[in-house]
Amino acid sequence: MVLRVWTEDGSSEPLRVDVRQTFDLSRGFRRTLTLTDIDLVLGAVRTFLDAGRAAGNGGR
Amino acid sequence: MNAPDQPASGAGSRSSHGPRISLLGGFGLSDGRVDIAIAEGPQRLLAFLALRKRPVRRTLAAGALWPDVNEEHAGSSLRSTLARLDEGARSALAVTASQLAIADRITVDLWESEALARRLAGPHDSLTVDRSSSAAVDALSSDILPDWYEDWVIVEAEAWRLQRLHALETLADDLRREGSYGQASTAAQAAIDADPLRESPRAALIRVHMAEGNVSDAIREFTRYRALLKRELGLEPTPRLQALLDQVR
Repeated sequence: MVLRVWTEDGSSEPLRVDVRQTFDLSRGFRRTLTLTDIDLVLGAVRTFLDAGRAAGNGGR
Repeated sequence: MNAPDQPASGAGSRSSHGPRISLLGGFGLSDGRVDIAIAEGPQRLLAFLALRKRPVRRTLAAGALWPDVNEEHAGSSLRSTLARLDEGARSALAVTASQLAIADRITVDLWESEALARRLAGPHDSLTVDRSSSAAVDALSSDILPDWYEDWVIVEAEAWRLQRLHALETLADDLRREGSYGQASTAAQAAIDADPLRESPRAALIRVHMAEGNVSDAIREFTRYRALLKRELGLEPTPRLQALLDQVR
């Protein structure tokens, strides 16, 4: 999982977080999205970690 | 090994003479006249060393290139790769008992493009590169090794993406001030392509359209960006971007 964070000064929601994730780097990133809400970012990270733990493969 | 900070006259040109490694837009090795086909293992080794830019201990290279095996196995894999190198790949390397590096005579496209980006980021009234040429935009328009997802690539690729994005915006503004609107527009569009949701490249392109007197194009670009932002994030552009457009409305 790769998080890319930047801010857009002056925006009503200035935070931008690009989230890219995969459990198999040989196949590239399977999912990319951009979020503006911290709780949604934390939720995405938690979901990813939960999925990795469930798969027992230590997802990267 | 050529110092990465050397001037990059003609940066981005693919027609440089002499042996050359390309990392931008994909891996390539050339002897200066024709491309040299090499296997995936040597490609990864050359790419790793070119991204490091300096001599690397063998153990470090082995650990990075074979991260899922123990140190002994990784070292063995590196020795095997070095032993099986064909002439083209071997000539691109400087190998000692303890270190590996890109050979001095080799140029690397990324090094030249990074030098250009660094000069654009600083005071550059006397910039020697022909900023109005498409070569400068080309040099800043490609990502490092797209579709390579190893850790040692991703980190460098992200750093370069940000560096080139800023350089393209600077280039677009410089070219706009010089009245080179076509190239300015190309530079701004390349920055937008690198990060479609980021506002500053859109502002750069809108300023180009306005400077050229193409108000309708400026409004169209703003409208396009607003629709994208609404669709992807449910947000409006910042008041600053709106104010930019209000100058001509």
